[in-house]
Amino acid sequence: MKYFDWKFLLVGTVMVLAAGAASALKPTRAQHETAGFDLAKMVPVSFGDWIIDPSIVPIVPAPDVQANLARLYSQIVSRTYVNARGESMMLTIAYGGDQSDALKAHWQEVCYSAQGFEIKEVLHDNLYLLGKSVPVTRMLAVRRARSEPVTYWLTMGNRVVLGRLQRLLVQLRFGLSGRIPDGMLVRVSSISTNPTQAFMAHEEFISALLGAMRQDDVPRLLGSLPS
Amino acid sequence: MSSVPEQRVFPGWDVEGLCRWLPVTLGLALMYVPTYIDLAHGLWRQEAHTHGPIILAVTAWLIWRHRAALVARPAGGARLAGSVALALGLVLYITGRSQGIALFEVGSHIPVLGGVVLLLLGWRALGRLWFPLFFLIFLVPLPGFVTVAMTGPLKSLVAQGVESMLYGLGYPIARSGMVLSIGQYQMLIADACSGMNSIYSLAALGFLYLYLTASRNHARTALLLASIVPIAFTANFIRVLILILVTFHLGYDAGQSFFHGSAGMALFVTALLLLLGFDALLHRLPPLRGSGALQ
Repeated sequence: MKYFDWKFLLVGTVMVLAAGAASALKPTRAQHETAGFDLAKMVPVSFGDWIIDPSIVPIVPAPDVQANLARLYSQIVSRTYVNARGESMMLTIAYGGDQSDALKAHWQEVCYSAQGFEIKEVLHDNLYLLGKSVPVTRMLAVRRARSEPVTYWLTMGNRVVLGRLQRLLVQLRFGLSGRIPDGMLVRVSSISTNPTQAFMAHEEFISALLGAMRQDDVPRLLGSLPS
Repeated sequence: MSSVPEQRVFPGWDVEGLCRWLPVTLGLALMYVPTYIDLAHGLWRQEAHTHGPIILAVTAWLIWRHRAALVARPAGGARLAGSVALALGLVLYITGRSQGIALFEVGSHIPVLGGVVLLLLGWRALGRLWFPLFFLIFLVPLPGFVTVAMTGPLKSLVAQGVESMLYGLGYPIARSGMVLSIGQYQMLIADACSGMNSIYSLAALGFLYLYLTASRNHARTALLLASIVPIAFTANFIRVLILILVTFHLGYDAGQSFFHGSAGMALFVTALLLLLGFDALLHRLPPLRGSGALQ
């Protein structure tokens, strides 16, 4: 037996190198150094024939939920719009400046089911918004009498991502080039027992919303690159 | 080889054997101590991951128990398999650590340690250390969707069970999905968005118990393994029941302070007692009595 073995030393050295490589490859630059925009101002309070529903007092989430939201997202806009025909539409846009792992936006299928909803059907579709194809997820969330069709998408870095693998790849591409990607969650939902009709209404609502925004701001929601 | 007995500085300790491990220990420490520090400031503070440090300590203890396997004269390492596993583990580690992907960073423990054992000691040593490596699975934070898929149905059963039991006892209770309303209070049973659930840590506890009380009696092992899920269910059921009764009788704040204070511990103790009780019961059954009597 001997005190020293070159094989052990070699393995130890490789490990030290790995530890060094990991800390050298850590991204330091945020994609948007300071999120120089105000989400609440960016999203118009009225557009087309939609206005913010004056009858709805925003419900403040429970303190623990609120703390969790504040940790995940740096800016959140959550509004209910109503149109002349009395239809209403719930819009949530959440921005997170750091989409590295611990602070990622949540897939809404998971969130809704965690809140006690049953997710009936999840399907992926493309919306054509301002000449751009946007991959969205549609689902029907049901809790007792509440039937809520949901349309949403997530961005990571500078594109809309559909699915975990794609998001992971974008995260790695950003991260390994030294940048911390940001991300946006855009979710539209309504209370309806006719999902097909509701999804069409969501699409019209989103088109109208994007059309009414400052066109410079649109890439923040849709990503600047084709998906 | 000499016939003179080896001189030992510390009786019972193979100092030379342990000394050879110094460079590897240093490498491992440089890699993973920062990981543990970050986890202690982040993930492990979340209620669903508080068992993390315990898993880590238990694993360290399990490996220490087998230190004889580590200092034994190397039987010629498995070079190819060991190098592949170690390389894979290091790539996972570098990617996970630098990009903040906890799944990769923490998950890399298993191929890194497995690779080291294979490379330096060979398959036989890996065979002796398989359990600590397997146990590290419970250290890895699962993505939310996996947790939901694993624990969703069980949570829903718990909610239904608690509702029908309390309803039967005459409490003013109603359920809507996973939201239970009792009196003027409303409580959400599942909070899967915030991470891992108790079932996972109960499974860890079950496996550890089985390993430490290892017997050759396969019937007992199989029965105990099969009991993990029902025990997790029962323990959760009791926890939710207590939470709801405390809230109903003592108010919302009392319920919350119980929930954040001692409910997790109560869950663990209940599960452990159930497991021990079930095992004791198995020992009393004549066909299963004794270790390996029927082999």
